Amino acid sequence: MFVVFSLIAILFFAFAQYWALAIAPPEKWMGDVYRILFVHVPAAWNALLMLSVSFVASILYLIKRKPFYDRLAASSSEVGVVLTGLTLMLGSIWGKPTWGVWWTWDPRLTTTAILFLLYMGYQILRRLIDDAEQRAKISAALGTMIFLNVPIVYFSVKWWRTLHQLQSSPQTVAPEMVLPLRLNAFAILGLALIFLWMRMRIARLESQKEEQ
Amino acid sequence: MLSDLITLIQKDFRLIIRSSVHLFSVVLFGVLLLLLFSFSMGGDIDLLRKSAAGLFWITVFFSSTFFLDQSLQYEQKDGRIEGLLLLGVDPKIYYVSKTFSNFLLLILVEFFLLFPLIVLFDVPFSWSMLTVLIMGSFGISALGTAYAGVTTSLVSGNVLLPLLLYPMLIPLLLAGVQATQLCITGDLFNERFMWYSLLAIFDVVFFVAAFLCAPFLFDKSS
Repeated sequence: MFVVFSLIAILFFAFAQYWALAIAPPEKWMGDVYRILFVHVPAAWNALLMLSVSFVASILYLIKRKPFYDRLAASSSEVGVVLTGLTLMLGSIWGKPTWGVWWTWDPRLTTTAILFLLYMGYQILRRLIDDAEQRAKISAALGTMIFLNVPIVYFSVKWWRTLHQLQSSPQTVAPEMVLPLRLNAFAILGLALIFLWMRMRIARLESQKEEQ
Repeated sequence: MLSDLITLIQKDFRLIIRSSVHLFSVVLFGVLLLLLFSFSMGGDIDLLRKSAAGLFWITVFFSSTFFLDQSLQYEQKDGRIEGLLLLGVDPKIYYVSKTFSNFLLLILVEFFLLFPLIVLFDVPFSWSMLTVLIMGSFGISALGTAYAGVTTSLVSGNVLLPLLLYPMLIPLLLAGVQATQLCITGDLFNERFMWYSLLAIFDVVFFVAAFLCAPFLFDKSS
Protein backbone atom coordinates (compact mmCIF):
# COMPACT_ATOMS: atom_id res chain seq x y z
CA MET A 1 0.00 0.00 0.00
CA PHE A 2 2.86 2.32 0.89
CA VAL A 3 4.56 1.58 -2.43
CA VAL A 4 1.37 2.27 -4.37
CA PHE A 5 0.79 5.53 -2.52
CA SER A 6 4.42 6.60 -3.05
CA LEU A 7 4.25 5.86 -6.78
CA ILE A 8 1.04 7.84 -7.19
CA ALA A 9 2.43 10.72 -5.12
CA ILE A 10 5.68 10.87 -7.08
CA LEU A 11 3.89 10.71 -10.44
CA PHE A 12 1.48 13.41 -9.31
CA PHE A 13 4.45 15.52 -8.18
CA ALA A 14 6.07 15.14 -11.61
CA PHE A 15 2.79 16.11 -13.29
CA ALA A 16 2.27 19.16 -11.07
CA GLN A 17 5.85 20.28 -11.60
CA TYR A 18 5.50 19.87 -15.36
CA TRP A 19 2.40 22.05 -15.28
CA ALA A 20 4.21 24.65 -13.20
CA LEU A 21 7.29 24.70 -15.42
CA ALA A 22 5.78 24.31 -18.88
CA ILE A 23 2.05 25.06 -18.95
CA ALA A 24 1.71 28.00 -16.56
CA PRO A 25 2.41 31.33 -18.32
CA PRO A 26 5.53 33.37 -17.48
CA GLU A 27 4.96 36.25 -15.13
CA LYS A 28 4.78 39.78 -16.55
CA TRP A 29 7.62 41.35 -14.55
CA MET A 30 9.61 38.44 -13.18
CA GLY A 31 9.51 36.20 -16.28
CA ASP A 32 10.41 32.61 -15.48
CA VAL A 33 12.06 33.38 -12.16
CA TYR A 34 8.68 33.35 -10.45
CA ARG A 35 8.28 29.60 -11.14
CA ILE A 36 10.35 28.91 -8.04
CA LEU A 37 7.22 29.92 -6.12
CA PHE A 38 5.57 26.68 -7.21
CA VAL A 39 7.91 24.84 -4.89
CA HIS A 40 8.62 27.59 -2.40
CA VAL A 41 5.05 28.40 -1.39
CA PRO A 42 3.79 24.79 -1.19
CA ALA A 43 6.90 23.87 0.83
CA ALA A 44 6.13 26.69 3.26
CA TRP A 45 2.49 25.64 3.62
CA ASN A 46 3.39 22.01 4.18
CA ALA A 47 6.18 22.92 6.60
CA LEU A 48 3.65 24.76 8.73
CA LEU A 49 1.26 21.83 8.44
CA MET A 50 3.92 19.35 9.55
CA LEU A 51 4.96 21.55 12.48
CA SER A 52 1.30 21.86 13.50
CA VAL A 53 1.02 18.07 13.44
CA SER A 54 4.08 17.92 15.67
CA PHE A 55 2.47 20.40 18.08
CA VAL A 56 -0.78 18.43 18.30
CA ALA A 57 1.17 15.18 18.73
CA SER A 58 3.22 16.75 21.55
CA ILE A 59 0.09 17.81 23.41
CA LEU A 60 -1.49 14.39 22.88
CA TYR A 61 1.64 12.77 24.28
CA LEU A 62 1.48 14.94 27.39
CA ILE A 63 -2.14 13.87 27.92
CA LYS A 64 -2.10 10.23 26.88
CA ARG A 65 1.58 9.22 27.26
CA LYS A 66 1.51 6.87 24.29
CA PRO A 67 4.91 6.38 22.55
CA PHE A 68 3.14 6.63 19.20
CA TYR A 69 2.52 10.35 19.70
CA ASP A 70 6.15 10.91 20.59
CA ARG A 71 7.26 9.20 17.39
CA LEU A 72 4.74 11.22 15.40
CA ALA A 73 5.96 14.49 16.97
CA ALA A 74 9.59 13.59 16.25
CA SER A 75 8.94 12.52 12.66
CA SER A 76 6.64 15.35 11.64
CA SER A 77 8.90 17.99 13.16
CA GLU A 78 11.85 16.56 11.26
CA VAL A 79 9.97 16.66 7.95
CA GLY A 80 8.82 20.16 8.91
CA VAL A 81 12.40 21.31 9.50
CA VAL A 82 13.52 19.98 6.11
CA LEU A 83 10.66 21.78 4.37
CA THR A 84 11.33 24.97 6.35
CA GLY A 85 14.97 24.85 5.25
CA LEU A 86 13.88 24.32 1.66
CA THR A 87 11.48 27.26 1.91
CA LEU A 88 14.24 29.53 3.21
CA MET A 89 16.73 28.45 0.58
CA LEU A 90 14.35 28.80 -2.35
CA GLY A 91 13.06 32.11 -1.03
CA SER A 92 16.60 33.40 -0.88
CA ILE A 93 17.37 32.22 -4.43
CA TRP A 94 14.19 33.89 -5.65
CA GLY A 95 14.85 37.05 -3.65
CA LYS A 96 18.21 37.80 -5.26
CA PRO A 97 16.97 38.44 -8.84
CA THR A 98 13.63 39.86 -7.71
CA TRP A 99 14.40 42.08 -4.74
CA GLY A 100 18.12 42.38 -5.48
CA VAL A 101 19.13 40.96 -2.11
CA TRP A 102 19.53 37.47 -0.69
CA TRP A 103 17.96 38.41 2.56
CA THR A 104 15.54 41.02 3.87
CA TRP A 105 13.97 41.43 7.30
CA ASP A 106 10.47 40.79 6.07
CA PRO A 107 8.29 39.52 8.97
CA ARG A 108 7.38 36.20 7.35
CA LEU A 109 10.94 35.56 6.24
CA THR A 110 12.34 36.38 9.66
CA THR A 111 9.71 34.29 11.43
CA THR A 112 10.51 31.34 9.18
CA ALA A 113 14.22 31.67 9.92
CA ILE A 114 13.56 31.79 13.68
CA LEU A 115 11.23 28.81 13.35
CA PHE A 116 14.01 26.92 11.57
CA LEU A 117 16.45 27.68 14.40
CA LEU A 118 13.91 26.71 17.08
CA TYR A 119 13.16 23.34 15.53
CA MET A 120 16.83 22.65 14.81
CA GLY A 121 17.44 23.12 18.53
CA TYR A 122 14.56 20.74 19.23
CA GLN A 123 16.13 18.12 16.94
CA ILE A 124 19.51 18.46 18.68
CA LEU A 125 17.86 18.12 22.09
CA ARG A 126 16.08 14.94 21.04
CA ARG A 127 19.39 13.35 20.13
CA LEU A 128 21.08 14.22 23.41
CA ILE A 129 18.65 12.54 25.82
CA ASP A 130 19.35 8.82 26.10
CA ASP A 131 16.40 7.62 28.13
CA ALA A 132 13.43 7.12 25.79
CA GLU A 133 10.71 8.13 28.24
CA GLN A 134 12.60 11.19 29.48
CA ARG A 135 13.20 12.22 25.89
CA ALA A 136 9.54 11.87 25.02
CA LYS A 137 8.34 13.86 28.03
CA ILE A 138 10.85 16.68 27.74
CA SER A 139 10.56 17.07 23.98
CA ALA A 140 6.77 17.07 24.18
CA ALA A 141 6.86 19.86 26.76
CA LEU A 142 9.40 21.94 24.84
CA GLY A 143 7.73 21.20 21.49
CA THR A 144 4.50 22.65 22.84
CA MET A 145 6.25 25.78 24.09
CA ILE A 146 8.09 26.29 20.79
CA PHE A 147 4.87 26.22 18.81
CA LEU A 148 3.18 28.61 21.25
CA ASN A 149 5.96 31.03 20.43
CA VAL A 150 5.27 31.10 16.68
CA PRO A 151 2.47 33.72 16.71
CA ILE A 152 4.34 35.80 19.31
CA VAL A 153 7.48 35.78 17.17
CA TYR A 154 5.48 36.72 14.08
CA PHE A 155 3.78 39.68 15.69
CA SER A 156 6.92 40.91 17.39
CA VAL A 157 8.85 40.87 14.11
CA LYS A 158 5.94 42.48 12.28
CA TRP A 159 5.73 45.35 14.78
CA TRP A 160 9.48 45.69 14.80
CA ARG A 161 9.57 46.00 11.00
CA THR A 162 6.55 48.22 10.43
CA LEU A 163 8.18 50.80 12.64
CA HIS A 164 11.06 51.02 10.21
CA GLN A 165 10.02 50.01 6.73
CA LEU A 166 6.98 48.78 4.84
CA GLN A 167 6.92 45.08 4.23
CA SER A 168 7.30 43.96 0.66
CA SER A 169 5.53 40.88 -0.57
CA PRO A 170 4.12 40.26 -4.03
CA GLN A 171 0.46 39.35 -3.62
CA THR A 172 -2.44 39.06 -6.07
CA VAL A 173 -1.86 35.88 -8.02
CA ALA A 174 -3.35 35.46 -11.53
CA PRO A 175 -5.96 32.67 -11.92
CA GLU A 176 -3.88 30.60 -14.38
CA MET A 177 -1.16 30.48 -11.76
CA VAL A 178 -3.47 29.57 -8.88
CA LEU A 179 -4.28 26.12 -10.24
CA PRO A 180 -0.65 24.93 -10.62
CA LEU A 181 0.06 26.40 -7.19
CA ARG A 182 -2.74 24.33 -5.65
CA LEU A 183 -1.66 21.23 -7.58
CA ASN A 184 1.86 21.63 -6.31
CA ALA A 185 0.64 22.17 -2.77
CA PHE A 186 -0.95 18.72 -2.88
CA ALA A 187 2.05 17.26 -4.71
CA ILE A 188 4.42 18.41 -1.98
CA LEU A 189 1.94 17.24 0.64
CA GLY A 190 2.17 13.81 -0.96
CA LEU A 191 5.97 13.89 -0.73
CA ALA A 192 5.82 15.11 2.86
CA LEU A 193 3.52 12.22 3.73
CA ILE A 194 5.95 9.74 2.17
CA PHE A 195 8.77 11.24 4.24
CA LEU A 196 6.59 11.15 7.35
CA TRP A 197 5.62 7.55 6.76
CA MET A 198 9.23 6.47 6.27
CA ARG A 199 10.45 8.47 9.24
CA MET A 200 7.71 6.97 11.44
CA ARG A 201 8.83 3.53 10.41
CA ILE A 202 12.45 4.31 11.32
CA ALA A 203 11.29 5.72 14.66
CA ARG A 204 9.31 2.57 15.40
CA LEU A 205 12.28 0.35 14.57
CA GLU A 206 14.55 2.53 16.67
CA SER A 207 12.31 2.29 19.69
CA GLN A 208 12.05 -1.48 19.24
CA LYS A 209 15.83 -1.66 19.23
CA GLU A 210 16.06 0.54 22.30
CA GLU A 211 13.69 -1.76 24.18
CA GLN A 212 15.80 -4.83 23.49
CA MET B 1 2.05 24.70 49.22
CA LEU B 2 2.76 28.31 50.06
CA SER B 3 5.02 27.41 52.97
CA ASP B 4 6.98 25.10 50.63
CA LEU B 5 7.38 27.97 48.20
CA ILE B 6 8.60 30.36 50.89
CA THR B 7 11.06 27.79 52.29
CA LEU B 8 12.46 27.06 48.83
CA ILE B 9 12.90 30.73 48.02
CA GLN B 10 14.58 31.29 51.41
CA LYS B 11 16.92 28.40 50.63
CA ASP B 12 17.83 29.92 47.25
CA PHE B 13 18.50 33.27 48.85
CA ARG B 14 20.74 31.81 51.47
CA LEU B 15 22.65 30.12 48.64
CA ILE B 16 22.95 33.36 46.70
CA ILE B 17 24.21 35.31 49.70
CA ARG B 18 26.69 32.62 50.69
CA SER B 19 28.12 32.36 47.19
CA SER B 20 28.22 36.10 46.59
CA VAL B 21 31.52 35.63 44.75
CA HIS B 22 29.54 34.02 41.98
CA LEU B 23 27.08 36.89 41.78
CA PHE B 24 29.98 39.31 41.76
CA SER B 25 31.68 37.46 38.91
CA VAL B 26 28.50 37.53 36.80
CA VAL B 27 28.19 41.29 37.35
CA LEU B 28 31.84 41.78 36.50
CA PHE B 29 31.38 39.73 33.34
CA GLY B 30 28.49 41.97 32.31
CA VAL B 31 30.46 45.14 33.00
CA LEU B 32 33.36 43.76 30.99
CA LEU B 33 31.05 42.96 28.07
CA LEU B 34 29.62 46.49 28.07
CA LEU B 35 33.15 47.86 28.15
CA LEU B 36 34.21 45.65 25.23
CA PHE B 37 31.13 46.67 23.25
CA SER B 38 31.86 50.33 23.74
CA PHE B 39 35.51 49.79 22.74
CA SER B 40 34.57 47.89 19.62
CA MET B 41 32.14 50.58 18.51
CA GLY B 42 34.79 53.29 18.72
CA GLY B 43 34.43 56.59 20.50
CA ASP B 44 31.41 57.89 18.57
CA ILE B 45 29.05 58.83 21.40
CA ASP B 46 25.98 59.22 19.14
CA LEU B 47 26.48 55.73 17.74
CA LEU B 48 26.92 54.35 21.25
CA ARG B 49 23.73 55.99 22.48
CA LYS B 50 21.80 54.60 19.50
CA SER B 51 23.00 51.05 20.05
CA ALA B 52 22.95 51.15 23.86
CA ALA B 53 19.60 49.37 24.26
CA GLY B 54 20.51 46.47 21.99
CA LEU B 55 23.96 45.94 23.49
CA PHE B 56 22.57 46.17 27.02
CA TRP B 57 20.00 43.44 26.36
CA ILE B 58 22.58 41.20 24.73
CA THR B 59 24.73 41.64 27.84
CA VAL B 60 21.74 40.71 30.02
CA PHE B 61 21.13 37.60 27.88
CA PHE B 62 24.74 36.44 28.16
CA SER B 63 24.94 37.09 31.90
CA SER B 64 21.62 35.40 32.59
CA THR B 65 22.63 32.10 30.96
CA PHE B 66 25.55 31.90 33.43
CA PHE B 67 23.53 31.81 36.57
CA LEU B 68 20.47 30.08 35.11
CA ASP B 69 22.76 27.18 34.35
CA GLN B 70 24.50 27.51 37.71
CA SER B 71 21.32 27.66 39.79
CA LEU B 72 19.95 24.45 38.29
CA GLN B 73 23.31 22.69 38.18
CA TYR B 74 23.56 23.04 41.92
CA GLU B 75 20.32 21.09 42.27
CA GLN B 76 21.58 18.25 40.09
CA LYS B 77 24.46 17.41 42.44
CA ASP B 78 23.97 14.45 44.79
CA GLY B 79 20.37 14.03 43.62
CA ARG B 80 19.23 17.15 45.51
CA ILE B 81 16.25 17.74 43.26
CA GLU B 82 15.12 14.12 43.60
CA GLY B 83 15.41 14.53 47.36
CA LEU B 84 13.20 17.61 47.33
CA LEU B 85 10.59 15.91 45.16
CA LEU B 86 10.66 12.80 47.39
CA LEU B 87 9.90 15.04 50.36
CA GLY B 88 6.66 15.85 48.61
CA VAL B 89 7.52 19.18 47.00
CA ASP B 90 5.31 19.75 43.97
CA PRO B 91 7.49 20.19 40.82
CA LYS B 92 5.32 23.19 39.91
CA ILE B 93 6.07 24.85 43.23
CA TYR B 94 9.73 24.03 42.75
CA TYR B 95 9.62 25.69 39.33
CA VAL B 96 7.95 28.82 40.71
CA SER B 97 10.54 29.13 43.47
CA LYS B 98 13.44 28.76 41.05
CA THR B 99 11.91 31.23 38.61
CA PHE B 100 11.35 33.74 41.37
CA SER B 101 14.86 33.51 42.78
CA ASN B 102 16.41 33.68 39.31
CA PHE B 103 14.23 36.67 38.55
CA LEU B 104 15.40 38.54 41.65
CA LEU B 105 19.00 37.63 40.92
CA LEU B 106 18.67 38.92 37.37
CA ILE B 107 17.16 42.19 38.58
CA LEU B 108 20.08 42.57 40.98
CA VAL B 109 22.62 41.96 38.20
CA GLU B 110 20.84 44.41 35.88
CA PHE B 111 20.81 47.01 38.61
CA PHE B 112 24.60 46.88 38.77
CA LEU B 113 24.85 46.89 34.96
CA LEU B 114 22.81 50.09 34.70
CA PHE B 115 25.71 52.14 36.08
CA PRO B 116 28.23 51.25 33.36
CA LEU B 117 25.44 51.65 30.80
CA ILE B 118 24.74 55.20 31.93
CA VAL B 119 28.42 56.09 32.23
CA LEU B 120 29.85 54.41 29.11
CA PHE B 121 26.97 54.93 26.69
CA ASP B 122 25.87 58.35 27.94
CA VAL B 123 22.29 57.23 28.40
CA PRO B 124 19.86 59.25 30.55
CA PHE B 125 18.29 57.25 33.37
CA SER B 126 14.51 57.02 33.45
CA TRP B 127 12.19 55.15 35.78
CA SER B 128 10.26 53.66 32.91
CA MET B 129 13.44 51.77 32.00
CA LEU B 130 13.03 49.83 35.24
CA THR B 131 9.55 48.68 34.18
CA VAL B 132 11.01 47.29 30.95
CA LEU B 133 13.81 45.58 32.86
CA ILE B 134 11.42 43.98 35.35
CA MET B 135 9.08 42.68 32.66
CA GLY B 136 11.94 41.45 30.48
CA SER B 137 13.76 39.75 33.36
CA PHE B 138 10.65 37.90 34.38
CA GLY B 139 10.28 36.48 30.87
CA ILE B 140 13.94 35.44 30.77
CA SER B 141 13.71 33.69 34.14
CA ALA B 142 10.34 32.06 33.43
CA LEU B 143 11.55 30.44 30.22
CA GLY B 144 15.22 30.17 31.19
CA THR B 145 14.51 28.22 34.37
CA ALA B 146 12.41 25.69 32.47
CA TYR B 147 15.06 25.27 29.78
CA ALA B 148 17.97 25.14 32.23
CA GLY B 149 16.09 22.41 34.12
CA VAL B 150 16.31 20.30 30.97
CA THR B 151 19.78 21.15 29.71
CA THR B 152 21.87 21.06 32.90
CA SER B 153 21.55 17.30 33.26
CA LEU B 154 22.75 16.68 29.70
CA VAL B 155 26.22 16.35 28.24
CA SER B 156 27.30 19.70 26.76
CA GLY B 157 24.21 21.21 28.35
CA ASN B 158 25.86 24.58 28.91
CA VAL B 159 26.18 25.05 25.13
CA LEU B 160 22.71 23.72 24.55
CA LEU B 161 21.03 26.18 26.91
CA PRO B 162 21.73 29.35 24.88
CA LEU B 163 21.19 27.40 21.66
CA LEU B 164 17.65 26.49 22.70
CA LEU B 165 16.83 29.53 24.80
CA TYR B 166 17.93 32.49 22.68
CA PRO B 167 15.69 31.80 19.65
CA MET B 168 12.76 31.43 22.03
CA LEU B 169 13.60 34.80 23.60
CA ILE B 170 13.66 36.73 20.30
CA PRO B 171 10.24 38.39 20.82
CA LEU B 172 11.36 39.42 24.29
CA LEU B 173 14.62 40.80 22.89
CA LEU B 174 12.82 42.83 20.22
CA ALA B 175 10.26 44.20 22.68
CA GLY B 176 12.87 44.88 25.37
CA VAL B 177 15.27 46.64 23.03
CA GLN B 178 12.56 48.77 21.39
CA ALA B 179 10.99 49.77 24.70
CA THR B 180 14.39 50.60 26.25
CA GLN B 181 15.34 52.57 23.14
CA LEU B 182 12.12 54.57 23.43
CA CYS B 183 12.92 55.26 27.08
CA ILE B 184 16.32 56.59 26.03
CA THR B 185 15.36 58.64 22.97
CA GLY B 186 11.95 59.77 24.18
CA ASP B 187 8.59 58.40 23.21
CA LEU B 188 6.59 60.98 21.24
CA PHE B 189 3.79 58.73 20.02
CA ASN B 190 3.44 56.48 23.06
CA GLU B 191 4.66 53.47 21.12
CA ARG B 192 6.16 52.10 24.27
CA PHE B 193 2.93 50.55 25.53
CA MET B 194 2.67 48.33 22.49
CA TRP B 195 6.00 46.77 23.49
CA TYR B 196 4.95 46.61 27.13
CA SER B 197 1.90 44.61 26.13
CA LEU B 198 4.04 42.25 24.05
CA LEU B 199 6.35 41.72 27.02
CA ALA B 200 3.35 41.10 29.28
CA ILE B 201 1.86 38.56 26.87
CA PHE B 202 5.22 36.80 26.53
CA ASP B 203 5.67 36.66 30.32
CA VAL B 204 2.19 35.32 31.01
CA VAL B 205 2.13 32.75 28.18
CA PHE B 206 5.48 31.19 29.03
CA PHE B 207 5.15 31.36 32.78
CA VAL B 208 1.83 29.51 32.57
CA ALA B 209 3.10 27.05 29.93
CA ALA B 210 6.29 26.25 31.86
CA PHE B 211 4.32 26.01 35.12
CA LEU B 212 2.02 23.42 33.58
CA CYS B 213 4.95 21.56 32.00
CA ALA B 214 7.08 21.60 35.17
CA PRO B 215 6.28 18.00 36.19
CA PHE B 216 7.56 16.80 32.81
CA LEU B 217 10.69 18.91 32.94
CA PHE B 218 11.85 18.47 36.52
CA ASP B 219 10.38 15.24 37.83
CA LYS B 220 12.21 12.29 36.32
CA SER B 221 9.87 9.73 37.85
CA SER B 222 6.53 11.17 36.72
